[in-house]
Amino acid sequence: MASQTTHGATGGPTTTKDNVLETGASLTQSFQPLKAICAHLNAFHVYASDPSRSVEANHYCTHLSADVRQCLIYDAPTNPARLIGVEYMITPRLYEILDLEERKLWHSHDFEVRSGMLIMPNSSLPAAAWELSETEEMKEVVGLYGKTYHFWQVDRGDTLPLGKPELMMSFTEGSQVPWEKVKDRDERFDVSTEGKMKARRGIERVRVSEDADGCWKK
Amino acid sequence: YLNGFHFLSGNTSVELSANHYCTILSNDFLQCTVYNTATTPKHLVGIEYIISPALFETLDLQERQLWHSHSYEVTSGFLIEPGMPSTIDHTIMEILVGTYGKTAHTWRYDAKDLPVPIGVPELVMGYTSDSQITPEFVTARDKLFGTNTTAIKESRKDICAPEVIEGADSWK
Repeated sequence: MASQTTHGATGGPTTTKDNVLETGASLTQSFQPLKAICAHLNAFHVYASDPSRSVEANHYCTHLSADVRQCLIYDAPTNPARLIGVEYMITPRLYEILDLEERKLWHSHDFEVRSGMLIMPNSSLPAAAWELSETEEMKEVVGLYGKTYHFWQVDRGDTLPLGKPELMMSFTEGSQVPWEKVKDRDERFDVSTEGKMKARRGIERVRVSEDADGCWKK
Repeated sequence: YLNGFHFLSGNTSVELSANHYCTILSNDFLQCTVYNTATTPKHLVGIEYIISPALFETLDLQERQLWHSHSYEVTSGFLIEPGMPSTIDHTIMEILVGTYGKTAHTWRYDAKDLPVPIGVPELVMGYTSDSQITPEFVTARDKLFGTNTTAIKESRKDICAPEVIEGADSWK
């Protein structure tokens, strides 16, 4: 578990040469797709192959269209942080045209949103003001389906991204959740999952397709 | 920010021009987000991790099968850094030439024209010789970026391509 907090990578410290190269690049190159990132979400993913294992995931997302978002997933909201996976999110409208085998790879966000577990960290604005915006955004996210793959199993202490990509899913009910991990996350981000659950009481439960969230249905 | 060519493990005829945006995490490790240049807005198609020969040697043989070498991509001029001044580019290429990459596309090549990334991630490899890529593909890339791959190859003649360590490029 110690490596879950290091957020860096195996190897020697970055050298002056590395730093000069990075500076040269950032001054002369265009990093357009990365500038399109417009949201930071924090939640937990579970391994579809072993739902007893879960990992905290910091998502940095972009809208590709009104129906599709793409997110980079890091193990921490810091610099440095390890890039551990990718998530795509789509509206029910698009999910419904997928065939059954494809639908099984996707997970719902209804529980994550209404339980308060999915948050949008923000330390610059006053909490109450930010929470209003966050709740509005959650009304959009609650109905989305996500497809997530992780490449770096930081929760088992891997210091490198080993093995094949792992399909990930989300929690769909309270009994599945390791609440002490959520509590730890709340402390670090200075938020209250329970408080957010209350703030989101007005968000109606969405109808989730029975083809999603397969890891809980075996 | 680098642009290079990927092909699917086991199928050299499926070619994709990929933009990589990379971060240096340590002296031996880079992590990159990969985007498809042919889409607007650019689709996030996958992730590539790049490691030094020293780190590659710590991997067991089974893990090494998932990685590819960068030696040929650098010396051929296929791997470029759009916008980068040539002296800095040269220095970076001297480092990259000996590295190994592990790349997975989460937005599969066969789904590139679809609105949704369907399917499971595909493992991706890099080119290791001239005969594997179609010249038209390179020309099209050069046109898009205003580059001259032939000239770039010339300018890298002094970069020594180290021998590829056993286990990499397992598709061959």
